[in-house]
Amino acid sequence: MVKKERLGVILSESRLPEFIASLTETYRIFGPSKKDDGESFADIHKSEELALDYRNTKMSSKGFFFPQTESLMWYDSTDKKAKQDKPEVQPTLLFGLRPCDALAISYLDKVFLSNEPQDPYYRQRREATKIVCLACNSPSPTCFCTSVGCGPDSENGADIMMYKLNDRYFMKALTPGGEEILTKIDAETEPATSQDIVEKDDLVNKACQMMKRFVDIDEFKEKLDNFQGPWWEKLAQKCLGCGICTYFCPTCHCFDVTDEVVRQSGRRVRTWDSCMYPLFTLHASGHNPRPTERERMRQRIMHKFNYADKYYSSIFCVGCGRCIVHCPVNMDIRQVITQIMEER
Amino acid sequence: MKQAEHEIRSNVGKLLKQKNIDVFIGYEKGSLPLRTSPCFVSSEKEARKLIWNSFCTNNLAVYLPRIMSRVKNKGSTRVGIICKGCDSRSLVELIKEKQLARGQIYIIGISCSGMVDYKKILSQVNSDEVIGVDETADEITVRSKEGERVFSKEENLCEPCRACKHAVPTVYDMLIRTAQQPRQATTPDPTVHDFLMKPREERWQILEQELSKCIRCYACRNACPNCYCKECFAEQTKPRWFGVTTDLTDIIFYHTIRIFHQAGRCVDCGACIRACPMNINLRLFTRMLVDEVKERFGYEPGVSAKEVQPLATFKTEDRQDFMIEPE
Amino acid sequence: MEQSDDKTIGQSDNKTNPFEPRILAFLCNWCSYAGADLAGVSRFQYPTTFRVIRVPCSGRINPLYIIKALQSGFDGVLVSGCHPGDCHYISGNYFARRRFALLKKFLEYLGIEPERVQFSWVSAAEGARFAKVVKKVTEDIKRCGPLEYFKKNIDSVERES
Repeated sequence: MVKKERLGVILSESRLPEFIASLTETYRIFGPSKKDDGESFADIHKSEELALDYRNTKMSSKGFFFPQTESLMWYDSTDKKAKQDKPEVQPTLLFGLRPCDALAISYLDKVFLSNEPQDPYYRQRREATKIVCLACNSPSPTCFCTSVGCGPDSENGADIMMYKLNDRYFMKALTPGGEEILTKIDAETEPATSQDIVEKDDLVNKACQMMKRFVDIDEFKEKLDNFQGPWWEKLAQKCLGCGICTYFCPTCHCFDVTDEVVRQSGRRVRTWDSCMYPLFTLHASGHNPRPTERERMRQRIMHKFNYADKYYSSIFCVGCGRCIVHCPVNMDIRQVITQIMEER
Repeated sequence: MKQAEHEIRSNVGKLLKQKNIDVFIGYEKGSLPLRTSPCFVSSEKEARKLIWNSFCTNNLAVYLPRIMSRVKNKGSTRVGIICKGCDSRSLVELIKEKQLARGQIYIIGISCSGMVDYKKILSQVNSDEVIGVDETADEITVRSKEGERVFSKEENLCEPCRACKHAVPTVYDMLIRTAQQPRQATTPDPTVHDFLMKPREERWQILEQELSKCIRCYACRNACPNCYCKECFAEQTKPRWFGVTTDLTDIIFYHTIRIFHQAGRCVDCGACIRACPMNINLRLFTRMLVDEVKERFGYEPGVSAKEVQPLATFKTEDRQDFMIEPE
Repeated sequence: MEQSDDKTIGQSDNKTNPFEPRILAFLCNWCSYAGADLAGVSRFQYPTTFRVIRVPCSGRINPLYIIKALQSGFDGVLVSGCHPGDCHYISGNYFARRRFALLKKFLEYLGIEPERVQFSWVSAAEGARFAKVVKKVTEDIKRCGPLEYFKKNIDSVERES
């Protein structure tokens, strides 16, 4: 098979049904689908179920690889064996993911896979999955990806990047995995032309224009080196400590491991946890190094924008804006960053 | 609204300037149209950012137990707060439960004609196009890139506001009356009655359907002024009562007990419902105890500071029709 | 040793339905537990479906225990205390009465069969009455059937996001 250097391919919108049908032969497809409460990822069997003209899903896609409730192992005392849970995975396609979510997954890859031992549960799901990203043409007022090193067509984490042009999709493969997919659906697509490229660049620029960069993130990272900065008390005052921001954030990955026993059997289960809860850092001695909202807010911001950068070479925020949309007291991370930058 | 806003700003400014209070909890403009945000002001200058409109929904009493439990000088600290009717009732219950002393709070009460649920408005517009919001006595006008749309306040009220009988705060140091008439519900709230008309299996099905959306974020608990326990039953580990997972049975366990913990205390302020990011219809379940307590014990939380909470007392002649009598 | 999920424990009765419910009973030490003891000593016959937890007073029962019992696999719960006015701790049962009135109504509202969670007064002298209570509660819960919809299940199940 001769590998051609190609600009990309074009899929006409009218051919989307065949395109999806073709892919469902090999992959289980998850894509954005309209529900009562906005869009969320659902099992896609036909292209009609897709809602690709969406801003973003309510919950992020981290649940695909890092489910909120995951059974790690279980035992039944009648046969005295403990068995590790193995997620049954089949080749999966996350279709139509936004670039911010894909970037977040590449960050989670660093957390769960870059050190030994690798997380086997995460790895199994991740290895079986490919990501087809849909670049953004019209960001939300709460999107700020360009301020944090991401963008409407940021490529990290994606196997294929898709752009919605007028009546067609422009796609280009970013990884060998993406190439594989494009080769599979070769019949449905045509090669892209340089005119397509111009159109897609134009759309990306327009999308970038809609999000004014509000901070120099490198300056902010440095400012946070001041751990004892005086701004934390005031910033954290209205925080309820509810944890919504951490649960909706595509990069937040703290978890709790608990054991559950029901009569003769038991299991060890991993669930999402949040650093915003007071009990998160409660020691057995009774001491809590993060006793109030002030310390916990500081921890969250510093972990995202300072420690993660030192440890994983990326800040752990992709600018998806979910924390802003759902916070019950309208804590806006952009305002938080701006206020910190303004302080001496 | 503007008049009330002006009154709030000038009075709070005065209080702070004269050092009658150390900090005032009020509302400020949110970072998005249709949102407001709780704010803590401690100077006359900062008081100028306080606002008042039909989106000032948060129950600010939620901050008081934690402020009061942490102040070093309990005797001399004074906190100011703005209270709608529902917020003031929360406050009264908190005083009864000794989470704060009346003398520590300066309450600016404000009569309320019902708060608008911003999520209801957002669901009817393309939320990403909204530029600004204006309001009149009865209407909300949403300005977007495509033009203007007008919404009736009445149709987009927060659900608890519909049934509100205490739009004028039950306790205050100073009362601001807005130009609008305070709300007074004339018909009984149909929520509980309508739900009870459904057969048992359907009720459980609806419960499962609603609660299966839950992601165990605990926003309902954290937004509720009554939930001030330092260690919540949901997070207790000695013993661990139930799982922390999103298994439906664990979710139902959490909500059943949390809502039951509000029996005789819940003032139906709606903070939990508004906080829920998954838009679970919690009021379907929370309202039941509010109605039952009223019916069985004739008690309404937060109305009188002298009335003892129903579960903290008893009468020898209490009804026991619910108990079994074997033949 | 019984299988954890088998419902047909104990002796099956003559009828076609072999379901023997498992019922948790919280009995207050001074009255109901003594009454249950009297029933035993007096050789009254009653179904063997109750598992008893002795508590100092019916007022000690936290609604949390009742919900936990249902989640753990019990088909029903009984809380039994002293008659009003006879509480060993003077007023514990009065508080319990108010609490359980609300709890029972609440659980019924949510859609749990009202027969599953029951409350009674049984005094230390009422052995026969206790036997009657056990019979009645057992029959009621038998009619409801096994409680499947609230049980915690930890069998290894693949969880989808």
